[in-house]
Amino acid sequence: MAAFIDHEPADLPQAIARAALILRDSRHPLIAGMGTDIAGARVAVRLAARLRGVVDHSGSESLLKDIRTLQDAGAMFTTPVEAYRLADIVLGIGPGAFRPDLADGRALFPSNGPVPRRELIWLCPAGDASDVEATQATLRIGEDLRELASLIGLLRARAKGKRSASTAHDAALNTAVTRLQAARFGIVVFDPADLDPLAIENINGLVRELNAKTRFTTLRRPGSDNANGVNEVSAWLTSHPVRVGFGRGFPEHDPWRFEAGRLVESGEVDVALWISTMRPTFPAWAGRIPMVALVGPGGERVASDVLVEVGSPAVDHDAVLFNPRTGALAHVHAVEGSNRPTAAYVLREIEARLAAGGQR
Amino acid sequence: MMIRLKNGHVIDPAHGRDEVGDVYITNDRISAAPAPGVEPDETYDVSGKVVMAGGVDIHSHIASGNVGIARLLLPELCISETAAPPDAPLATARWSAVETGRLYAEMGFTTVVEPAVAPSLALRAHLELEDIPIIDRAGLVVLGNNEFLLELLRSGESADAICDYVGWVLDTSQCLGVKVINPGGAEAFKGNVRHFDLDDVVPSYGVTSRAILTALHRAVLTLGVPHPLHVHCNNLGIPGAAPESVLATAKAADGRPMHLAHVQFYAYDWARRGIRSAVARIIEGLEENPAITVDVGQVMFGPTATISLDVLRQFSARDTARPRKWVVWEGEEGGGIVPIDYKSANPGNALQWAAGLEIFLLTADPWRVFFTTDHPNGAPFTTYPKILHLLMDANERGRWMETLPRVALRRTQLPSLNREYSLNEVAILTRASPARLLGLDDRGHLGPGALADVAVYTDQPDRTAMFSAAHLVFKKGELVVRDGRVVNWTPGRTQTVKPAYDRKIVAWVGRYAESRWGLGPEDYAVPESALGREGIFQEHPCRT
Repeated sequence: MAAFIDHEPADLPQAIARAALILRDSRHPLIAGMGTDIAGARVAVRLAARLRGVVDHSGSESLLKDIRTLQDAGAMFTTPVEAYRLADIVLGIGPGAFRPDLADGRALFPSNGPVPRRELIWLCPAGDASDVEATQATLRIGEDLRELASLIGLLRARAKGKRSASTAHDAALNTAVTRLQAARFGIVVFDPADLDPLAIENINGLVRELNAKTRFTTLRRPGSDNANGVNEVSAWLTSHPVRVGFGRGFPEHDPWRFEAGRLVESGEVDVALWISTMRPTFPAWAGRIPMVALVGPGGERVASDVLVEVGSPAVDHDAVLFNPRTGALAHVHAVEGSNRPTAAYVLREIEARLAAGGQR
Repeated sequence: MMIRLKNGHVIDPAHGRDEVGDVYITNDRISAAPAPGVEPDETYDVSGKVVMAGGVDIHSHIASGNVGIARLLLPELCISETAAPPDAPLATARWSAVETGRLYAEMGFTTVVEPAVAPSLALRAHLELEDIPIIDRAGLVVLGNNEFLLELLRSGESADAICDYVGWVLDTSQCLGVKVINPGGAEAFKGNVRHFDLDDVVPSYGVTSRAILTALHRAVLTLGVPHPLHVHCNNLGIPGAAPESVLATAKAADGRPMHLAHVQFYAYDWARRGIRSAVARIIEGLEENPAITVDVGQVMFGPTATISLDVLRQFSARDTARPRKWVVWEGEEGGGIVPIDYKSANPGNALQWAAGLEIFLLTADPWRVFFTTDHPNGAPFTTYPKILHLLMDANERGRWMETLPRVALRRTQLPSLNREYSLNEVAILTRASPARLLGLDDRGHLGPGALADVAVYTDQPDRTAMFSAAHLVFKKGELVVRDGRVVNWTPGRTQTVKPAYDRKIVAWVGRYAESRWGLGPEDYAVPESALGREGIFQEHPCRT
């Protein structure tokens, strides 16, 4: 267990007391990073509301691109376990579609167990789809990432039978459309980080239209640092996705206004509470404003007024985390176990001191 | 600590009480009048007020993955406008967990059931339920489309095995009862089926919807779960087919208890360029099948979202979405969200509104019809006071009907119905009967020993005003609401049943889940430690 005040070792209650004072005296605090388990996220959002501050997650940029398209036009989606069970065709979109980074280290479509025959089509691929067992030769279309959005648009137009511009990929696109329409249950896989909202909306539109005759849905690669789990908490406590501000005494969501980096840059926030329990990382803007940091073990101790080394969820302590395979929140037992405090504990203690000390 | 509620109009249908008198609370329980000479610690003079048990809602979508997605889809329904009090900084966040607890409590409701907990999302549902303050809550776990159950049925496993599986799911998901939603329909839709009746077969499983329904019905009865199988029938919202599905399902219950949810959404037949009420047929079916109970799913006018695990129905209704956006997601279970704006000028919507009231008014026995809007599907739960007003006041109904399209009113019996619910019937509808149907014997009434969940209302002709803001609400004996405002943010508890079952099924589920998805039974667990507080769960006995 390690806690520091102004780089000097301190005991935990002292660090917590100092953190509470810093936050209490803030006019508009920012709670950022938010790389924490569900317990930590529940307290952090409550704390932000109490302090009339802002909550942002380090992975919200790509998450919000996807949510923006959801808010505009809706979507169809599924989970990896369902995709694995059902897909007879997989359309990968962009280089991140098959990056093997699911939290438990397993592939998206592992090749053990009973495997249905699956085809693979991949727009703007990168590397090999080592975790997709394809029973037929993969159809790869396009190489330049800059043409990805237009390839998606062309695919959608052709699937709908609309006239579209002729390109070097016409033959491949026509083959792809034929195969997609012949699918029993197709899955479109992509990482929102690779795409802009209009391209994501075109994917959603393609899927909606293919469902007129057959079955299709999408699979989004999950965000890092429990972004999806934290976002669920934000949604049930505030009814908004992350990037929520409480300045007016009630939650408001704005992807631009409540972006952590911009708020620090513009001087709209005067104190930061940085939470990164899965990894001991710090934001690029560290040092710009007074900061209380709750970070996972190890790593460098970047300039912070208060720094508490907290347990890493599911390593140091039992935790509830978003499970990217099932799309559900699941309770995970600690791999190692330690006496490091949990982020939720430290946040609750700060909350209790703020409550005891009255409101600003 | 003893509290006396003095001189109120006490309405307690479970004990046949409807009189001016006193109610005593000792600590967290209702108590008998004390011996002469014993003075209560506190007395509230409730002359001119109505005293009832706290309200109980059997079917309201207040917490689930599906509700979470609906919030993200529909920011237009999530606009907050009022600053929160310092002691509850999230209490005014529109459509949030804390607001849900506050608004229910302020109306005098103290127990609410979330009726669609998917087994794989049970932990998520319970985490959200735990963030709903003041009220007690419970979940109904959803079965009927998940692969393991269908696998058991396909391979012809014994009724005992199915019973053990249902028992394990109830246990591990920490729920109070079992719900089945369009049995097999979601799985059939994965096989590209677009219309699914009770006797249709789920592709690749060779199992009919009826077989799934019957197997779950038998399991719930055998396990002695107090709440009967809670059924969302096939063909919701499809004129002609929907009432047939309700009648066929009621008959399939074979004289044993079964609850059919939000039947208003099934009460339509085709008419010339529109729909007409099929309530009379449904009421007839209820009379022929006396073990069946129903809740209404009343529609009220305004924008809302339909939120359902009936994936097939939600997909089929996608073109009706207003605004024009919708979600259909598929997991081990799945769901769909289709926003809707019920308009009084729309004859179809007006007919839906009328059909719901028809069901309330034509069901002779108030113990068999349950008060719901299927929140938020028919309307948000905040419309309850208006609905009670409509049920209690025929003139109020008349005023509403004056504004509705005449073609809709010609297609319902509502204009000819003069029945008005009494306060005693309202107490049956919103307290005594739902608590009894859920097997929550400790609430819904004011007998000594009952949980001291009590609502006190100011008796006034404007029933909307009366039921919108309770004068006083006690939760477990603590004053939580005064004059329609929360004064005490106590945490609630979650109600469960723990049926007996053979735990051999756990290893079986584990082997299956591991081989299919690399999951284990622990991936479905809802340990109290994960929710962050002790004493959350309150267990109710099964019947032996």
